[in-house]
Amino acid sequence: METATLARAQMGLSLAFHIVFAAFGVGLPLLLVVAEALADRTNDPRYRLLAQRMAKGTAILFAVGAVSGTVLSLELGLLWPAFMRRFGEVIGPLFALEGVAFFLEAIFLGIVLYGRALVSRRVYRFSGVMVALSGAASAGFVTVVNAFMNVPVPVQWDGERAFLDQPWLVFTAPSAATQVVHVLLSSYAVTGFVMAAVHGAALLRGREPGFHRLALDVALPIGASAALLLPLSGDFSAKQVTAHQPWKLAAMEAHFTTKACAPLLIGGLPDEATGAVRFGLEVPCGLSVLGKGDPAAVITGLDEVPVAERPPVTRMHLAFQVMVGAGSFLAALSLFALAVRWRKKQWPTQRWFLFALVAAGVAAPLAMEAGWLVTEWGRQPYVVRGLLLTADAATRVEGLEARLAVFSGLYVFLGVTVVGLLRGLFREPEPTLSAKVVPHGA
Amino acid sequence: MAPEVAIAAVIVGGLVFYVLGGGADFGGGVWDLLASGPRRHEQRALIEASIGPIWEANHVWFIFVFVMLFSAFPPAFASLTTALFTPLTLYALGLVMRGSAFTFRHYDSDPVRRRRFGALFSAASILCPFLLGAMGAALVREQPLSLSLDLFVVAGGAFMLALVAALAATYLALAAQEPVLRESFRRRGIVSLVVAGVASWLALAAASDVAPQLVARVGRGLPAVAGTLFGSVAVAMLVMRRYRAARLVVGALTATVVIGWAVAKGEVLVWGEHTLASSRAHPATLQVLLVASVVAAAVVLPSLALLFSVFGRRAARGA
Ligand code: HDD
Ligand code: HEM
Ligand code: HEM
Repeated sequence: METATLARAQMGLSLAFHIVFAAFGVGLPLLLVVAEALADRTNDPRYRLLAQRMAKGTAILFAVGAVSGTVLSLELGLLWPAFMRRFGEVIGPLFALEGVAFFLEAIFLGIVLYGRALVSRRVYRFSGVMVALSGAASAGFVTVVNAFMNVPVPVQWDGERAFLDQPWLVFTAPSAATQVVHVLLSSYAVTGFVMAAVHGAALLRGREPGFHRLALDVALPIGASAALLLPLSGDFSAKQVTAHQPWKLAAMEAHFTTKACAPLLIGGLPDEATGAVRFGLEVPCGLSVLGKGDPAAVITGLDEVPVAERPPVTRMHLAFQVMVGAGSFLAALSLFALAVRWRKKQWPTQRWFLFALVAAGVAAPLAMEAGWLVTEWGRQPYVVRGLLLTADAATRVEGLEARLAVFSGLYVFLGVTVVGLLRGLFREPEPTLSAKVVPHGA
Repeated sequence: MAPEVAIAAVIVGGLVFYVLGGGADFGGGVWDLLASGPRRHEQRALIEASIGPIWEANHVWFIFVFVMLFSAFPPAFASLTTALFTPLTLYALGLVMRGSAFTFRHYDSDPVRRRRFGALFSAASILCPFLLGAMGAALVREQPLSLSLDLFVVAGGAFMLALVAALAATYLALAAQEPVLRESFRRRGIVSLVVAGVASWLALAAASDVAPQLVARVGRGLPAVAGTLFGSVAVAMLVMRRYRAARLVVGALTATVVIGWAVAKGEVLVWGEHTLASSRAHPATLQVLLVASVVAAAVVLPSLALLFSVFGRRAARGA
């Protein structure tokens, strides 16, 4: 294989791995803060137990998140030296800010995980809030890097090196705001629904309902609110993509010819060579509404994008369908759950709902991975759209095959071990305290 | 001070903290492997308790140094990652193994798997400081950058390994409450300081071949004298069972080594290719990085102090 292709495979693999742990790094601290707050307010010891279990899981997920993130930092330099040489100055300050957020996250996490008995309740709560805030901030900064790569702000050049004489202007990258909001919401949705799925599965197996229903009180309000907001935020993202990255919209929608009242394609198998789409369902003028909020609007098709600059269509369309499909499912499920909770003061109890929760625990991370693939593939063939080709940015070092094989094995090992450990934690029976406490909310 | 020199100073400062904190955590991994005698379980427990809450924060110094380097000196960074591709990849592997195996062991109850994770944790804790020292040595050689192994580079790696082992042993001797446990780490501290001394002497001997200018500039200068002095005083303090003083002096020794290394490098970032001035980022970028460093110091250092005081108190209470 070509070195550039291998470098892309390596980067994609490492990111796809890291992003799962990163999402938990953003979401879990918030859920922990909520669980602790509920424990304080209700004096129900089961919340405390839940928080303690969550803290153990957080420790494991954070450790893997931190080390996989470090691998990524190194890989930016190892795999993309020309990218770093040319754009290191522009994105560097963002990574420096992210570093500050990492410090705060790691420091206060140390206190949250190990310091419970050593600090006052106020310091403990403050630490929890700091972890949640700095996790969100670190995700925000790194997403701005990605937004810059997708739609760069105008840069100055010093020879072949780009810089900004006002470095903070990097925050004005057109897709920064929409991406940051969408990424943060998706992290909360992923964490909330994975947690809800785990406890939903326990309920299906007939384990201590008092405890596991209570866990839904922590997971679902956040997961479901985020899932309701995601289609809205996704719509803003789509409008931003239409305005600044028409090639990306055209590819993810398999929209081959420029036209007014462009249809929205649901499903379907595009043929990149002929521009035909088989088995699709078209919503008349749907794409014009999604992209510009006006059924008569003209939407640029791939025909206006030079062949050499087109992103891969079939893969992107598929990934986009997965995200939107999963997103619609999550939003519908959330609407139902929140409505029932509001009217009956408890989460739905039907078995099918529990099964749906388990499915949502798979769908949410799937949607997040798919969304990232849309964003990253949609930038191809560029690393920094319009300014630096991926092929030119890649390292010239030979022999990346071995490295890719080693890291693939490593990620499999880490993934399997983490799942095994979390299952081990989860198998510990709920202690006797559930027996002497009256069911909550009943 | 020129802005690129100021940023370089910030980076070196970060490196000092990394070796002091992250280095000591690696050292803990070394002693975890070498835990022996009837008290080996207590030794491991002490190591685990003292690394657990702080290793992630210590680890962030590495990310900080790396990020500052690529923001402030992008072309030098690109050369560096290309020339040191293999050792850096191994370093990444080592960091992953160290952090995850340590955490996995803590949360696994199966004794067989715990032992395996422990072995992985220790192996990575030996690999990383060795690579760090070896890369540090390679960076001051006066020849095109690569990790070809010669006596100088190997001695550099061995020196760093012994240094972090000494750091960990003196910290642990102070943290240990129980006399027998304390004694075992005291002895380990002395041995590793002596090994570090021998390795540094070997490195200096080899340096006249691969880095003649460096030897001329600093080999007999202040850093070498200060290093020898601190090393000997540290051994003396341990012999006299002055644990607090020993920890302080080993810390000073570490700072001297890192700063001395940076002074030895001087203006040269990558030999024959990049100096500080030739590879620095645009002044606007450097300014922002400097401001960010000041803000970071104002926010991060007090938080770190809080962290260490919380867990330092615990050590003092003997938990
Ligand atoms: C739980 C995860 C999740 C869910 C349910 C959705 N998304 Fe999403 N989406 C992501 C998670 C995500 C993401 C975090 O993976 C991405 C990648 C880059 C980004 O900004 O967010 C993304 C990107 C992304 C983009 C590309 C943005 C860009 O490149 O600038 C668009 C247009 C959408 N999404 C649209 C939607 C729509 C219309 C959804 C309606 C249901 C939706 N997303 C649900
Ligand atoms: C937010 C920070 C991110 C940064 C800075 C970033 C950076 C990069 C870079 C430099 C490349 C190589 C050049 C290229 O192919 O364009 C790349 C490719 C890639 N990234 Fe990202 N990325 C980010 C997020 C993600 C995430 C979260 C995923 C998760 C799925 C991801 C998936 C990929 C894939 C699959 C590729 C290979 C694309 C291809 O060449 O086909 N990226 N990214
Ligand atoms: C959208 C993509 C990304 C998001 C949302 C994200 C978010 C996060 C978060 C929240 C953490 C905290 C630790 C944890 O949660 O386990 C983390 C860790 C880390 N990330 Fe990412 N990240 C992303 C992509 C990247 C990229 C592209 C890089 C570098 C090139 C990177 C480098 C790191 C590093 C070095 C750490 C370790 C910090 C520590 O030691 O605490 N991340 N990331």
